[in-house]
Amino acid sequence: MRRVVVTGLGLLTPLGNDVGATWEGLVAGRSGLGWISAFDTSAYECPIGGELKAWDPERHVDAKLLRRIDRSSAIALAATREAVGDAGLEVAGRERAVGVLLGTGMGSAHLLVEQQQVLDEKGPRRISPFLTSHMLPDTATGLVAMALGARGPNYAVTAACATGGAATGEAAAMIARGDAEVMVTGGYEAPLRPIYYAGFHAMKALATHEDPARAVRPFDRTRNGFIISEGAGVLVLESLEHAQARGARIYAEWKSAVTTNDAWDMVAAADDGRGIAEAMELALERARLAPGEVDYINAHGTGTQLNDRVETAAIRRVFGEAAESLMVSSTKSMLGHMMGAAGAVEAAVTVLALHHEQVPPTINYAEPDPDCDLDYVPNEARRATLRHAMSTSVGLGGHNSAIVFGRWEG
Amino acid sequence: MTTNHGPRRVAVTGIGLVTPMGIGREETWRALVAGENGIAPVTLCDASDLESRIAGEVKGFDPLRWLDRKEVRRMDRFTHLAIAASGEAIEQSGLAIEAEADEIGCMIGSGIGGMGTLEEQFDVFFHKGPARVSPFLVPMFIPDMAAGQVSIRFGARGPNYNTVSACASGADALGTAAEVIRRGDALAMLAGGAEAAVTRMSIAAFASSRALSTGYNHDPDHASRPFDIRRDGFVLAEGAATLVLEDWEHARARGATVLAELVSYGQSADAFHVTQPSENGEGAARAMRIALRKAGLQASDIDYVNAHGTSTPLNDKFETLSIKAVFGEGAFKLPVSSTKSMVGHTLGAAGAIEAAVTVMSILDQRVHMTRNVIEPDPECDLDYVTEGARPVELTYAMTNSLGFGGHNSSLIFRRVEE
Repeated sequence: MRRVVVTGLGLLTPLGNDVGATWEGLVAGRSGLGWISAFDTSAYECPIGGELKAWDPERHVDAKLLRRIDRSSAIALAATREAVGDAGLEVAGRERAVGVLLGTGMGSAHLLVEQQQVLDEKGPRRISPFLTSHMLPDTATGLVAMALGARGPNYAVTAACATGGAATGEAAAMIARGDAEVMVTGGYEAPLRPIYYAGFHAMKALATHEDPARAVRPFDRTRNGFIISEGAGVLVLESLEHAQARGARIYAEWKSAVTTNDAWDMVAAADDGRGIAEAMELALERARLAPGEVDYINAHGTGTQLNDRVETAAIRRVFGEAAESLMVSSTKSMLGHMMGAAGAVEAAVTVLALHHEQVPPTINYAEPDPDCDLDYVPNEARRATLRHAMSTSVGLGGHNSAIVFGRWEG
Repeated sequence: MTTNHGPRRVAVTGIGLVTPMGIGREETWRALVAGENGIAPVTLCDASDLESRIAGEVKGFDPLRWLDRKEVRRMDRFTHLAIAASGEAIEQSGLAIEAEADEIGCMIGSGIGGMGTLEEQFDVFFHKGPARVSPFLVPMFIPDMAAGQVSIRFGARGPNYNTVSACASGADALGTAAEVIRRGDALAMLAGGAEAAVTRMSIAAFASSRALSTGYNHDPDHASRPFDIRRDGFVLAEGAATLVLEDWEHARARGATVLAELVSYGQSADAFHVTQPSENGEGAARAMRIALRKAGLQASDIDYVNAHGTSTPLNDKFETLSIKAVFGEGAFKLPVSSTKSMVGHTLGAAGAIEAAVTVMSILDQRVHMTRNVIEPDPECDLDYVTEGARPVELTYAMTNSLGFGGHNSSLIFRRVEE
């Protein structure tokens, strides 16, 4: 098995339109959430969301292409471009060694909804000829491959809210086994659309608060749900050999990634947290680490009563005594839940925590919950030299993922 | 050739198929060998004002055979099909999932997900208001839900997600699942593809992109005609296939019948155009070469290619070129057939259905025909097995899948002699 390192990052989040701005917001403990402006929300009592701010897709995507593609694809194109630039990677000359594996929960399906209105009102002959090629969850991976000229392995992964972790893990495995030297991987999502919002709203899992910035309160006793956000997180993963040969800056080393399924319920996490516990256990085992060697977990921490309690119990079970000295934070407290992008954004944040030796906080933490009794790095970022850090995700459909990165001493 | 060293080998120990040819693998294979046609006028939605009014539907499929009423309501049809196919595959494999639940995963590819659910809920949203939208919209629609529900249904708690690469999704799910086993992350995987997109929106959209056959609405028997000069697009279809892939030693140790070995998986991107194949089918050729190289095989070792063969003017021409690029002179002696000539194009399920059919071909030592090659296209000059099913001595067989977005996947299976 070959060693895999992280050499580039791209972030497009409600806190900022690049890695620098997002990281700055995270360590400052700022919320990126606000009242939704993207569509008419008069039917909802508390329409809070995490929207990108002053982000102009025309700066990233050619105007003609932009007319044909979904917002989610434009987001993916922008974030991958940042990551590849950040990695200083020249794809020309190594096209076949560079692959693209992005995850998304729903992908470009919004185009489908828009066109459905055309079908209803104007009839089948008015449907866009570009719809089928741009509405699929793998559309963005194909567009990114074309934009970069990357001709290696290419597909999309979907695992609901655990998508980003699953995609990143599979991309790393491709490099480890020698099917690619470089993988541009991660997740993207643009779910702030009327019909999806209505669906999530009907699930009665969305947070409410008079102050949008305080809506998501992971691990706090008064937490009452999650908030949907849009954005993308992209990592450039690379074989150590390839990265060193081209003198690339290395952020961190990828150690292991695991996906599991609860095999329990399509919506609720298994009450005993067995699926996520097993993912964490296996991730430690494959990274050949003892629980005490991990210093930080970027938790799934959605802010729902069930998730945060179950996740805390699972961490306790896996880490035992070591849980006492473990830092656990939920960056969803600031970013909201970016769905299929969440796992990848949080993996990138975990890498940044290792690199900058600083742990972003869980904000809005005021009232401790007796069932949530770990060190959640409340409200303020903390300086810490981390040896290893883990990012976990849990998704609808019982999907779980855990991914471990190690500090790069190089 | 068995070895306890080096990378693990991957056995196929179960096959489940739900297709327009029949519900079940034996029924599907029988109909394919007989050269029957699975395409008929659309009944699943009102197609009267659509440009294409024919499809490959799974006939007489009653999800209540596998699920109770509440479950049926809370799952999209693509998930129903996946559960039926997975049940059949698991039964054949004799795999006791409960005993090793954590070591058994699930990877079901789907190109689109619950398209019917989305269309239905759009209607609700638009005509009855957002408050009436179902809380199950998102969990029914998202394309990983077949993998999620199959694992819930059968208790498989190992690695689990959905791979999407348009029309190559099912093949990539199988290839990725095989790699999961090879690297030791699971002992067995329920892997395959599922799609149920015979809906108004889907037909209208594929017709608008000029991908669908529109000239044979009056003659569904002859609509899907890969490699024929008068082909005019693919025929939309639905279906599902699941293979039980298993660590070779694990399968042997429990005394399972090994149906075939999945020896290799090659994947590439064209990085060329969203809907058109790359110059001379370079991307597809490269996926085949990668699969051969990873298996340590020469092109001449392959005895049969189950082609992507969609019946679109472009695909069949470029796929022929790519096969010639890889197989050279040998290409003209190689039987190549298209399952889509009878089933139609099941999109994200196609790669898995065709992989299952490739394994059935190896087991039966017989390849099915390409139906409807009535007047061969001079640019499609390979042996497409046009005369009917043919006995062939098959040791290694390849199946290719090519997707919108420039995804190419190639899988190689090997005969296992008992």
